[in-house]
Amino acid sequence: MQKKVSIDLGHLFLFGCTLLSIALVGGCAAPRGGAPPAVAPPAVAVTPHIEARRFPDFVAVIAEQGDTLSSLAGKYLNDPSMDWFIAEFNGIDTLHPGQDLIIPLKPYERGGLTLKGYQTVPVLSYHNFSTDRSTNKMIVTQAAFEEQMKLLKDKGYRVITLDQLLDFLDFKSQVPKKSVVITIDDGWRSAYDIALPILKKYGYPATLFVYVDLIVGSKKTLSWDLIQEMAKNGIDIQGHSKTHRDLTLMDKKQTFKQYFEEIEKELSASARIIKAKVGKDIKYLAYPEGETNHLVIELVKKYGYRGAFTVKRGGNPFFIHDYRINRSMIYGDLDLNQFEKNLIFHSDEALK
Amino acid sequence: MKGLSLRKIGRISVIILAMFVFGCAAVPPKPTPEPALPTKDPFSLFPERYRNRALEYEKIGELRRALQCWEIVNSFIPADGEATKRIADLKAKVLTLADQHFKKGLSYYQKNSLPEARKEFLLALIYNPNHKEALDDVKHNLTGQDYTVYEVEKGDTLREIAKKQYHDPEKDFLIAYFNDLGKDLKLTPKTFLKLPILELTPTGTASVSKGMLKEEKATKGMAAEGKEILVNTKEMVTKATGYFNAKNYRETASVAEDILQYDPGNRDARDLSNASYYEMGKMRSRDQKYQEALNDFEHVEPGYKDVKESIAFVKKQLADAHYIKGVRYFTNEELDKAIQEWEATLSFVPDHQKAKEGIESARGLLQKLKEIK
Repeated sequence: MQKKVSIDLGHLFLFGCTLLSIALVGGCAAPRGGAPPAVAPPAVAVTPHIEARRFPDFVAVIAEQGDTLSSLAGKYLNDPSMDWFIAEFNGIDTLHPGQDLIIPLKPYERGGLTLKGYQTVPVLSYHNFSTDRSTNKMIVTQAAFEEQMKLLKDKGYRVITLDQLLDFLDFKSQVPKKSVVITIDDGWRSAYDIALPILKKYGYPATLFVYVDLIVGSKKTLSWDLIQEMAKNGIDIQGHSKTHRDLTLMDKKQTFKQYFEEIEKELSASARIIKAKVGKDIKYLAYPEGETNHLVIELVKKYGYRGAFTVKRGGNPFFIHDYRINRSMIYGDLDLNQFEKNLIFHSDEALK
Repeated sequence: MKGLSLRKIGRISVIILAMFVFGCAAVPPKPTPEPALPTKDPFSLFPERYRNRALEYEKIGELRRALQCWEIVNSFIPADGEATKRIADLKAKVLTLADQHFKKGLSYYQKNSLPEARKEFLLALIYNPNHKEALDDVKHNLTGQDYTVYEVEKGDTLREIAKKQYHDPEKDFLIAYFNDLGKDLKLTPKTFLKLPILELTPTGTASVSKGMLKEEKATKGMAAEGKEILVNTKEMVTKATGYFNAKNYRETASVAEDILQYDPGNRDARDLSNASYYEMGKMRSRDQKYQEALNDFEHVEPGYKDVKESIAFVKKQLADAHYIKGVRYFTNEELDKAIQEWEATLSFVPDHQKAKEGIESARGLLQKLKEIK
């Protein structure tokens, strides 16, 4: 009997423990009405909602769960891509709940200019691409282009548009410290077949400078339909003259007036055709052969272009001449290290 | 456990079971009032953090960033006396520094020292990013204009201007084009026209920059072994004349000197060089920048206008300045320094009588002091 009682007591104890376990797992907060017990949330500190404090020039914020630099940029600067603006001001890369930060509401370092130096923005100039191997300097292979775009991402470069670049050059606004611009010249078909998918993959904006006589839609060249499609996919279409003649050279047989009328036509026809085909006014010019002079610049200004590009290698500080903007040609025989040497984003040369 | 009857154990089990089954809610806890927590401002740490940052930025001379941080402190605590004072002080300081660097930049610019000028304009912008003149200079003037400005004279026609400026009346259409004028429009004297700078080689086959002319000269020079080199000095003279008419004396002097480097006997270039340095010297003299004025006047040929008198005038000013400095040192009993200043006086005006007398007295006193010792 004694033995039996003992056994019953042991069962009872086990029964109690089981109940206790259920109660503990379900918890006091378990929902009533037979609903299954809720799964406990991961152990993350929940921060209470704290209203941001707004001042005329900045907003003071304490980050909440779910906030990102991008979401805060969207909320307070109306542009999620301005995440870098908050990150650079606060000297941070990431955000965690409870972190306090200041969101400036206006540029705080125009031109990237400090006592330590100033920002330079490299503009990369591509021409043609191939799927297999590069047969000449002007052709970059698909693999190399992909590798170069990946490097930009991996190393934290930010690809910006020409409008952003010109705002930076005008000393109106600032751009990410490691900004770079991508341009593709001429209008080869490979810009659509090879470059566009890679640019789309990384979400990079780019500018296509077309010389309109090349746009015939052959096996090797772009058609206006493809250019329109590129434009719809975020590619900015700009001018590269009509025939790609060097605008600074006058033919021996020409009078000065004939020469002048010819270069004027190079600019006017290309602007008119691009406007008709793509439906937008062009603002930027890549000089054919990268060559320019005072007369051409005055003509380009007269036509209302906002900026124009040479192929002089080097980054661009804000004080570069707007109609002599440097671009670095990216050749097919560059390895990744040589490519990276073009990505110079800071200088103190002029402050020495 | 031994004393517990099975019935008692059963009762306890039922109670425990009931508690577990119905949960805590079955026995609602007696509500107890929560103690009132002191309401802490979640932003209370901001002012101190930015105060510290402001001080750090001040230490390394980043005054604009320091100012931004103090303004953040002040936004949180408007009554913060330290922040208010630092903001006022820093605002005044950055404006002063910006202005100082800007003036220094202008001085370099006038002396044609462009890298130094750029540095100073950039420093002006670091301290005051809203300094419009510094921005204009660093962004536009230092990069060079692509046109010259021509002031219309009485009786001018587009053809005449084209002839004067481009040595080609047929280029009148260019002036009309860039100034939105009809070809036969009557020009009003004292108005200004924009003339694009042309850089055409004598053969007219290529348009090249000034730098390329030099390169071309070097290459051809090597190949032609001393044969005459084709450099379009006429076009460059036109260009320099345009700069001179636009009162851009620094550029005029620069282009004229380039021409003279290739063609030292070029009278037009020499005249332009004389005229531009003379004008720059006069300007600096008016601004009481006598040393810079002297440097400019010394580039001018001695027979040009009243340059001899102008040099004598600025030398006298420089001599007097050193003489006064010498007197100050003398009264402070710094006799060696006084002698140095008076010697500088004599370097500008060798027969400066007072300086001579001063040197004599100072040397006499020094001798006596030596003897006493």
